[in-house]
Amino acid sequence: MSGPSNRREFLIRAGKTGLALTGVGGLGLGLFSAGPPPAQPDGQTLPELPSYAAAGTQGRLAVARGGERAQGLEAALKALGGMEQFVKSGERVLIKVNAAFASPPAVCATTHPQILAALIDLCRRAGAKSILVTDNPIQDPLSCFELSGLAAAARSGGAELLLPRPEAFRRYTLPGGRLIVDWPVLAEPLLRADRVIGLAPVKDHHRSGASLSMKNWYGLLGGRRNIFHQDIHGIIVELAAMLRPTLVILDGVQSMLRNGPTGGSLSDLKDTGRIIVSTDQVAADACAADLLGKTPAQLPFIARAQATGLGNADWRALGPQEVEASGS
Amino acid sequence: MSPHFVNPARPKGAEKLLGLGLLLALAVVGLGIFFSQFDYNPAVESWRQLKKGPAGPAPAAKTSDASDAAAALAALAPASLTPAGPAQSFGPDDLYVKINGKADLYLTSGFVSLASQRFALKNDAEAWLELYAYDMGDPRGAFSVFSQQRRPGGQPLADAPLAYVTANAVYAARGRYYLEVVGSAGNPALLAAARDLALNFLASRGDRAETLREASWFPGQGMLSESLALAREGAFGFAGFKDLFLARYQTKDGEAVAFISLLPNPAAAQKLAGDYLGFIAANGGKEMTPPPAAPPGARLAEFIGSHELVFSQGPLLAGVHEAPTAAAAVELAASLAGALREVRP
Repeated sequence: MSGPSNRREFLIRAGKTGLALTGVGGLGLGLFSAGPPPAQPDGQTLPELPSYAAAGTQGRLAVARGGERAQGLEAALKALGGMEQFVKSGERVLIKVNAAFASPPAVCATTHPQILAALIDLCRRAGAKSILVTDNPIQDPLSCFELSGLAAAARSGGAELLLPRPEAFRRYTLPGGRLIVDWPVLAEPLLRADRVIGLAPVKDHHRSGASLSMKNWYGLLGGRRNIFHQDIHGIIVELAAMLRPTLVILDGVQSMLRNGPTGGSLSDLKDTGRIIVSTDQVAADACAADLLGKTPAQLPFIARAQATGLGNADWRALGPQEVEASGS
Repeated sequence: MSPHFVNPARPKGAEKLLGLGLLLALAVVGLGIFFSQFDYNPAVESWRQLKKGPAGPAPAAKTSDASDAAAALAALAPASLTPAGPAQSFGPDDLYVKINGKADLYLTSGFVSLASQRFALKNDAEAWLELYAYDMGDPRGAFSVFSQQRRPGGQPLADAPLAYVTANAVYAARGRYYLEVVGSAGNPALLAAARDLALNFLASRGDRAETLREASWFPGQGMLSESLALAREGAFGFAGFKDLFLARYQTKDGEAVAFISLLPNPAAAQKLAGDYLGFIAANGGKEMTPPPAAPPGARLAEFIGSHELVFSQGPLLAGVHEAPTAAAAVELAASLAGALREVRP
């Protein structure tokens, strides 16, 4: 192409370019969607989850010091008025344990079977009609439950162990959620429960700094949930928003101070001698941070959960019941 | 060749406005793309995965049929052990299935594959252990994950230089491999079997432990034992650091961390030092004038109650992290600079 151009040609070309840009931009804007892919219209979507909190029990926290796990759990619950405050006769209870690894109880990478057995017993004595125990470990679930001793504890207490299987999942969107959007959630045990209790160990975590009660709900997610590790604090907060439990229980009798969440060596553990029981999962996690030698401020998910209105990071403001479990 | 546009007159206002408008539109589109790429929606990934298969548990681990390396582990067992369950193998795509939230540590350190096998004592099936053999690609990767997870107070394993034993487990790095043998309890018979298994594994690797040269560049005086480590990416939260060697020291005012990294050339080292100070400043650090005793060109900052010092010496970046006082940072930096003067990278 040759020959001089004049101002008119320039304006025509510039106008065409502008129109082309506007067209492309408009097309992109028209096709753009900030939302998730649409839910599959197969009736398998989970509705909004109810609150599993027992009426009139909000903002309670107890810490038991010393003693065995069973003693500590019973003492902490007694300080809160007893399990009957939270589980009524005839109710169906779901216990969400941490069975993330096929590792032995001694390394405390999973919920300890002793405290699961004690909790099942307390629920049974409170009159629970049925007790479900579940988690969705990403390793082979049966191996995780068996090698961690959790399957035996559930069986010996007469609880039903619900292993994850594809049909137990439903897609779920957290209202206002940014991450939990049309995501598979282990729904069957939640739909079968009147009360939900989270039962987790106190652990260091390579990504989040700590794995405590809010992080414990991570095991309810299906799919390739590891992608959420890119926003670990965000997903923990959304999980806490998704699940409003009856109680959370943190087993800090031994805490994993380093190399979490897998640990492995007994030298990763420290005898910290605490059982924390709370209806406020943010407060429970803030209280447990100290067992790991951290402050709540060092665990960003705690402040973010409080800012979202999910609980109180100032656990002492709840007027915690602090009791000795030894010999009780 | 004729000029494409010949008009000696200066463009008029309307033309200028039109041109600017077009440039502005392009800038808006560019910015939109730039910011949108940060708004990654995991639900899209979920949807892709759901399209591939049903929702639910993550895919099961591959068993020994999928990996010769995993199957070969059984042959390493001492006479007291018997395999319990199939061997498993994992790659970068499914490492999270085995170790979940710990996977990132390995993936950022060069992880290639993991082979694992559970064994039980022949005379006590309740006592079991699991061997994890991580292929980290090269000795740096192996040393990185070994050093970043080192448990204090471990006992030596025979004469293996990068190996230790705890109450229930054995950990070792050899060549490109990082090894863990984790027992179900602190059982003496189980621990003896774990030691034998680990030694058999190390013996099966033809290569001896490799000394990483940067490790020898640190001054010996004041270094805390077993504190030498290698962070392959993002040490101290700064994405610019790659292959940063660290060692913890006792100074007169408390503990501090010295660090070294070898860069391609002096200019790169100097630039990275500046970038790190910029990172510190961006996060609330306050730069200070270093005292004369500091290494030439050193930059010092106070940061969240501790002190950071960084300098470059030829292609070497070096510095001090989390020193309790400025004096401690300078004292350790001077010692480090002195040691590095003897180094020929």
